[in-house]
Amino acid sequence: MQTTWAYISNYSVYSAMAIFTISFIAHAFETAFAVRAPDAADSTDGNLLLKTLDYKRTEKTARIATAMMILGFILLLAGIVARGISNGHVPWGNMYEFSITGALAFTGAYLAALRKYDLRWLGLFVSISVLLTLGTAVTLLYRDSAPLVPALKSTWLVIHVFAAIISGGVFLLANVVAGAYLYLDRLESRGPRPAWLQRVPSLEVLDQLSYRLVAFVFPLWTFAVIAGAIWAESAWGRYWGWDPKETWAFITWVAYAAYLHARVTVGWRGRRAAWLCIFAGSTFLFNYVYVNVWGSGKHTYSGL
Amino acid sequence: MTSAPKDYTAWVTITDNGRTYKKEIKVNKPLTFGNTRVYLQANGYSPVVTVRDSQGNVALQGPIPFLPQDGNLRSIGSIKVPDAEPQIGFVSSFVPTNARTTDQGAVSIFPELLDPKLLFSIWKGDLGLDSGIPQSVYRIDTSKLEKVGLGSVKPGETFTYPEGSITLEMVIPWVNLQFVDDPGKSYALIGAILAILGLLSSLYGRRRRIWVRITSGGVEVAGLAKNSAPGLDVEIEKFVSAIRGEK
Repeated sequence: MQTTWAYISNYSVYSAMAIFTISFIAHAFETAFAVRAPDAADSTDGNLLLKTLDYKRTEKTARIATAMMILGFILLLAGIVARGISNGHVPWGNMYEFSITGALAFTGAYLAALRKYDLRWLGLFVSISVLLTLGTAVTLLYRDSAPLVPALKSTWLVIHVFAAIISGGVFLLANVVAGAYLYLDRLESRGPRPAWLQRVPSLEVLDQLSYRLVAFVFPLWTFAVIAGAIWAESAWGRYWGWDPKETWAFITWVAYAAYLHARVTVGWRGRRAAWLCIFAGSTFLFNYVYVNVWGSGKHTYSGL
Repeated sequence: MTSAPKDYTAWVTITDNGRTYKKEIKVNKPLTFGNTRVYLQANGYSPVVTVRDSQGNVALQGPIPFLPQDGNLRSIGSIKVPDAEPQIGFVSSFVPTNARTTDQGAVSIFPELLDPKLLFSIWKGDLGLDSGIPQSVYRIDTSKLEKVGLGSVKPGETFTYPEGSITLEMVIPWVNLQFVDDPGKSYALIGAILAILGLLSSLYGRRRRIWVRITSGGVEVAGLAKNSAPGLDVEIEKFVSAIRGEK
């Protein structure tokens, strides 16, 4: 019975990857074909001819792209739930399980933000990063479904890891936005934006968005670290021991705290703030990848 | 992941002012006793051995703690016999469930005592225990010793060599318990909770300042929103009309 669920989980994750691929292609198609070459009629007023974006032409593709993203999210969610059933515990016991859950959180953050903001331009980046994450997970990180090691058997696993995964997903989304800001900032310093980027919001909006994402999730990250400390107190006999994972979680916390201070107190905006945001996000990624794969410490479980 | 442990539990008996009761200690469930918490940190095996000299006199008897090396509790250790003449040392490894591989020698394939075996090389000479330099209880410096033989025993078996014999009587488990009294713990927790509350109010609160200046020409009103919270204009207009209303 457990193996059946494990198979269901694997097939759901594979199907989700296929669906995300379709979503990626649709996003790429939309971005490429919405560019409208100037008509001869436009040139009569003597103005500079610019390629424009006409999303009416690709509305259907855009809808498909978002629908596929939602479908992929549902399949991935099903895959993670099935994995949990086959394990007999929340599926956050090793790096494969963290990665697929992280991909789910990332997609979920994008879809949730999409309801409020016109973020569809971000879909191309979101679908490709989710595909890369899932691809790495199923090829390099996959481990057979297994029971939890004794040290992970605790309610805190759910609380601590859930908070950490959600924080990670939103931090990385903020990083993508900050990266988009820096790229567009460079392009705009040389002239008008190319047509395919015209729907991306203005630099001011991007700047605000990455700040809001970080400000929204920073208390949750603080909570994740504190919940980890409370758990460590009952599992390892100390609430803080400068384990590599703990130390890097603290470094990430300090980096984001510096970012928020730089914005709110000192008034950093734009390029400098975006770089600081990306730096803080990279400490999170470093903690996730390096400490799990090459590091040694109490957070290294079951191979990966 | 096969043959991975599912659970560790230590059953302990507590005696407190003549009152005796039984408790469990698990990895995520430390035992709380007053202000002290007792944690189950590690476990392993201690082979109980009897070492005799060539006349048959007991030179050493008792459990020797061994240090686990992997998940299946393949352990290393040393049995030092300073009271034998000459002194004897066993550089040993212990496997709870014995199996042989061609490349690694003896390995353990299960953490429980299904087919335990003690393997050793025997050395004689000065163990260096009287040199005054501290040394590991798990290792023997063999640079000044002479190798006498190589052997292995299962429980109940005796291995004989020219200088004497070694018998593996039985194998008992050991646990590593950590006793912690951390009086600052609750202060750290209160501090952490206050930090989160402070963060929430400073990040999500709408901080804004309004200045009112009375000049000869009338009243000037200015405002500043700290974390660029929207809606300041509306608030200032309301404020201004409120002032006007009072006049």
